[in-house]
Amino acid sequence: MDEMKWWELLKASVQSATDELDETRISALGLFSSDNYFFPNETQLDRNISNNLILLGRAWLFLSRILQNELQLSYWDSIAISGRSTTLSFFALGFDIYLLIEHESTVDPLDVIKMILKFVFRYGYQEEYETVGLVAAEGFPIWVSSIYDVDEFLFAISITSLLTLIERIDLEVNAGGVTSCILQGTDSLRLQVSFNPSQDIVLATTLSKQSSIVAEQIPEVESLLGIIKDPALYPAFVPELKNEERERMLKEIRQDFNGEITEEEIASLTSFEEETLLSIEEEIKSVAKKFRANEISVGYLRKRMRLPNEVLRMSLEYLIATGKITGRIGRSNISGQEILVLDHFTEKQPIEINRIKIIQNQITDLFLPLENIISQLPEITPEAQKQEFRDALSEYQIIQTLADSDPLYLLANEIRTTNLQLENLVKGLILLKKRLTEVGEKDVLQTELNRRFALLTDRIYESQVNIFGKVARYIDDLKNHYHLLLRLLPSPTSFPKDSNEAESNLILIEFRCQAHNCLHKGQIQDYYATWIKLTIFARLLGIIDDFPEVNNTKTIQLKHNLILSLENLEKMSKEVEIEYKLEFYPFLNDLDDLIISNNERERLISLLQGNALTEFFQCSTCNKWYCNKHIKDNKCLYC
Amino acid sequence: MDDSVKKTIQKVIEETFEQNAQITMVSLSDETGLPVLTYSKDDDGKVSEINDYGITNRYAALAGASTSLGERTLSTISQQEKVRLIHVQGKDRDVAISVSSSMICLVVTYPSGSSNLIAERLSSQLKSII
Repeated sequence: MDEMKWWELLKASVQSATDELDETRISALGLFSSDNYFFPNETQLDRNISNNLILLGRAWLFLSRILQNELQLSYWDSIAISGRSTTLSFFALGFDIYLLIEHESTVDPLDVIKMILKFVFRYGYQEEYETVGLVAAEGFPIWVSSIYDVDEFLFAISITSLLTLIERIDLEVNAGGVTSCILQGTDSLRLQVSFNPSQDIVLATTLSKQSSIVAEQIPEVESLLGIIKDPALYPAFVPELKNEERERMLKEIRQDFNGEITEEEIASLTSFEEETLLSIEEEIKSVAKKFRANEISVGYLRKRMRLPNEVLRMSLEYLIATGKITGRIGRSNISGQEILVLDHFTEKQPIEINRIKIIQNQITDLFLPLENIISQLPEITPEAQKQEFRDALSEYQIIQTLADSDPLYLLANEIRTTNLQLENLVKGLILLKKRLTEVGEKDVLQTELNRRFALLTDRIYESQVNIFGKVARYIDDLKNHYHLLLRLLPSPTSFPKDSNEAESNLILIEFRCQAHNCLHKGQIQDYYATWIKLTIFARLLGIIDDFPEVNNTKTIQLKHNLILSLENLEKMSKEVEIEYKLEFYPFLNDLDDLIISNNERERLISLLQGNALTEFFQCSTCNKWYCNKHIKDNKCLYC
Repeated sequence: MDDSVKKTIQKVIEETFEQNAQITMVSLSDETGLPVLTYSKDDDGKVSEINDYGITNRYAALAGASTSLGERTLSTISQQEKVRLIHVQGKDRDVAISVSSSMICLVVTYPSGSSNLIAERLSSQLKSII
């Protein structure tokens, strides 16, 4: 593949990946080469930012040459520059082309690379191949794309069988580490697998063309795949609950191999000296201590100790059984890699325990119902009565701090992710159902499919229960959020009848005094959609009695429907026995639409300052807003 | 297997070794997984038959296990396909296992030794003999 073709393929893939990325967390994505650059969302970028990024990209190219030529670094894959909350990551993608990602520090940029890889395969690879899959060497699908109805989990398991075969052949004939394997069927099917450099990820492709010459992999794709090579780069994540079913399934898969440990392995095991076991133990303890890690990748240990997988496993099991190390061998549910999970390896010092307790107490305080805290504010901070404190620490500022939208966005994102997993599970189950009807009763696959069916059903149920709980929390937090916001902002009392979202910036929004027949009103322009959100919740929380008349009711109806759907899910969370349903909830993707972000809040407040906010005051009892003629000492004349 | 057939097979294998300097080992096993013949080249380049059952059984078991694991892999993608060839490329050795109805043929060569082509050719030659 030539440079131009590769550039175009990457451009198209980055463009498509952008549409699927969470743009609130990935602020910029760009490609650079020595004479070209590409921003998929350039039009949305501020011109200054885009210019700065281009400058940065150019500077980066220069720096990369210094790294490679002057400092004689033979190659580099990635470099990240991290600020407090934002990180700039650069990845070399072959042919002197670099990818720049500006993202929240909590985002793993490799997820972006994986997303781009998906499209690289879709656009550049799948023209030729029918099934392309990226599988963690432990047998879990990272993603699988196929023109056939291939169940990705089954595909990954079948690739594991192949990997067992490869590992076995490698050991028996001293092949010196396998780089690729081709499995040719009797008809025309050819399955090819290639490893990444550290043999943690496998790229599997299938092709059904008669040909005696094996199709070459695209080297640039392999270099892209090579970026994802260090197991430590995978977020080590241990499922909160041990999934017995999955463990059992994988154990059975391994049995083929476990039962037939090679003579070399037995020899190396029996001749195991105390010293070898001791050095494994020391390595584990030193990693745990140095990095304060309670989870260590087994792949990492295998490479560090230069031991075959089975030997390492057996020695780890030996060390655990004899109590030399306390923990278990678990599995990352993202990459599917094996990890050694250590139990309370480090003894916590009393001073640490104390500190943890203090933090825990503070956290508990933070999550107390907000209403109570606010009502107690004057009592618990008598200094607030003093003028100087009043100015510095007004209730207004406190509420402003408390009405932070970030935790809500995080929760919405969590719900979205869980729902996405649920969607995949549901789709997988539907596929499996179809597959089960196709497979004959005596087929060997049927037992496996049935087991997988039961496993998927359980996981769907678990995900649904998880979602119901989270949605209940979300609604609760959302109401609290608006409750606070509505102490900072009055709810509009009317939107002009000809209001149209397309011209939302030109609409005059009115705030009237809530006193009967009072004509005092304030008007502002802009942020129509945000005011609508505020008004919906003002009605929901009973702060206004009726929803003002609005011409364009479609958006409002959509939001109402969303809230209703959420409340239905919330009800489910309160049921003692939740019924299993084969469904997922697409509306959960729109949770962000209900939140007023910190930025929006600040804009509304600054818009109102010098306008309605100085003319209207809120009654501390009924929470309604009145003009100065109808309110006295924070109490309206009607309460 | 009668002696004349075995001799013909031995001859074919020896010729294969002569024609391909890259080969280090050839192991044949029958459809039930039992070892038939195993030939190996030592460090001096001398080709000889291995009669140690411990070793021949091991390679036959390897070929058999590889075939069944390969079948398992292919079955998820296609119901019709059976394994014809497994080709594993390592840094130090190139290994191919060719499967025909009556014989499983394991060929090991040095890296990039085209063990897949040798195994397929050998397999088709043997098919005409047995």
